[in-house]
Amino acid sequence: MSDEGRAEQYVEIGTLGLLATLSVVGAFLGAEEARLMFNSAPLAAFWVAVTAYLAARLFQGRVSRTAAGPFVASFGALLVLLGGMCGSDTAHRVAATLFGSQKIPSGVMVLGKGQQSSLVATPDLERIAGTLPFCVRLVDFRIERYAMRDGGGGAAAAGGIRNYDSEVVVLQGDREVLRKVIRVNEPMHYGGYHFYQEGYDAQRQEYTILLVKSDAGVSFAYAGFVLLCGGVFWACYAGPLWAFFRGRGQTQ
Amino acid sequence: MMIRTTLVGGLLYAATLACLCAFAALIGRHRKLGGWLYTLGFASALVALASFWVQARHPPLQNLFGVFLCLGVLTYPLSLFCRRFLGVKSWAGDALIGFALLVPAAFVFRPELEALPPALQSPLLGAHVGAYMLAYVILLKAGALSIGAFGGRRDSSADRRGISERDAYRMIRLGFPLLTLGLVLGAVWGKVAWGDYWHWDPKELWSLTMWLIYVGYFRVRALLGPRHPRVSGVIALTGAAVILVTLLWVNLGRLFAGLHSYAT
Repeated sequence: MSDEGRAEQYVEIGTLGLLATLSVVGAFLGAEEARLMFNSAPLAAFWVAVTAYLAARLFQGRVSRTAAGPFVASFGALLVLLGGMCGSDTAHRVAATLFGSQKIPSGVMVLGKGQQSSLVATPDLERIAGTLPFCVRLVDFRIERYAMRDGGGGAAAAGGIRNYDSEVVVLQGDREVLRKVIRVNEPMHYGGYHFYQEGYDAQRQEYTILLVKSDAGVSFAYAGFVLLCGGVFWACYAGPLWAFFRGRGQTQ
Repeated sequence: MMIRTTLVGGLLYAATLACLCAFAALIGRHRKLGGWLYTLGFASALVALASFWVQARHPPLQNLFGVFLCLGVLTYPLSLFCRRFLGVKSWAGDALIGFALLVPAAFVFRPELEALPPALQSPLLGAHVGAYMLAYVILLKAGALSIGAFGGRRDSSADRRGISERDAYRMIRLGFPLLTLGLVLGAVWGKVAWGDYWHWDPKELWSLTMWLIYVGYFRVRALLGPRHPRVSGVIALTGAAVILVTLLWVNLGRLFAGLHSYAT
């Protein structure tokens, strides 16, 4: 290995060490402080630099194309980073400034039964984050509770919340274009947004709270997850599996 | 600590004792007896797990009792797999790891049957936590094997250090893809349930740290080769320590409260 290649490897190991150390620091700070730290200007620059370096390595052919596993895994990691960047609040602000995009990065909708709205509030409900290009109407909101022996919880579980869901319809003008029951773990996807069952009126169960998230970057991230996993499995298992089956073939 | 008089409790005590006796027999070179005792310990732990699973009516991965019981059960089939396919022979060490993993389930954590909250009612519970459990057992075993890389200074010890390093590398190569799968499935589940892949939650950050340490292990090994078993050994042991932090401290300590706190 050349001195340049060796130095590059030391830098990569140092970067991994730095990121691991920052993760530990973030864990001690708590989720909110960690989020602020990892989204601060210096670390945003760090993420951009890591992404650019990974892209440069891939497209300059420095990651050996014969070693398919690491190449695919690196490409997957790059897509995950790009997906995360595309979905960030900053990317939405840049798109709004450059292209006049009206897409809302995230917010919440509070809907009473029978009520419809296209307004999305900020997560703290302090102000309006934006307006959707369609309306969402809450048809019904239901809470399902555990019976005495359901779910293995026995008496302790009796009366506990088993699930809760919101039946909604999406309206374009007066036309109903989608009807869906949104549950925890079963979000609705429409018009570039995901709608999640976030919460509800705990006292009288008269309204539901839906989390609204832009779907920007989601396809990149999911493709990245598949490639990252596929590449890592290929890199770690393909060689030994090939050797094992070739060995068996030779002994037979 | 309280003595349990339930079927699960009795089976767990039997499994723990059998693993300890298996370890003693195996280091005393009574291989056949040790093998039988280890098999008996596994069978007892497996029946305890099946019984708890039937009572819970969902994969018993919601609390630390279930997690440690699963980890303890996994050590035996992993031992067989490693002997047969990887050439990693550490029967006595595996019995000791099995014992160490079953002790918290038998004596520390209570087998509480809890109803699943809405967020945990997903097929991804079994897939995400299952991938992590398997990865943890494999990587903890890699950490234990790495201890051999710090042996004496004689030439014969150098051979043993080399074998320890090679075995630990094979285990990490087996476990790392599962660790990656667990991390990715967790991100996908986070997106489906909570709206984001990543919440900067303490458990997520410790999991990321763990993943980065093992990426670093491969990078360092690629740079230095297998001739520096102590350097690789330090990284493998650090990874194993971070697994224990993620599994125990994050779940039990109030310092790291977050979205994953229900795992207690």
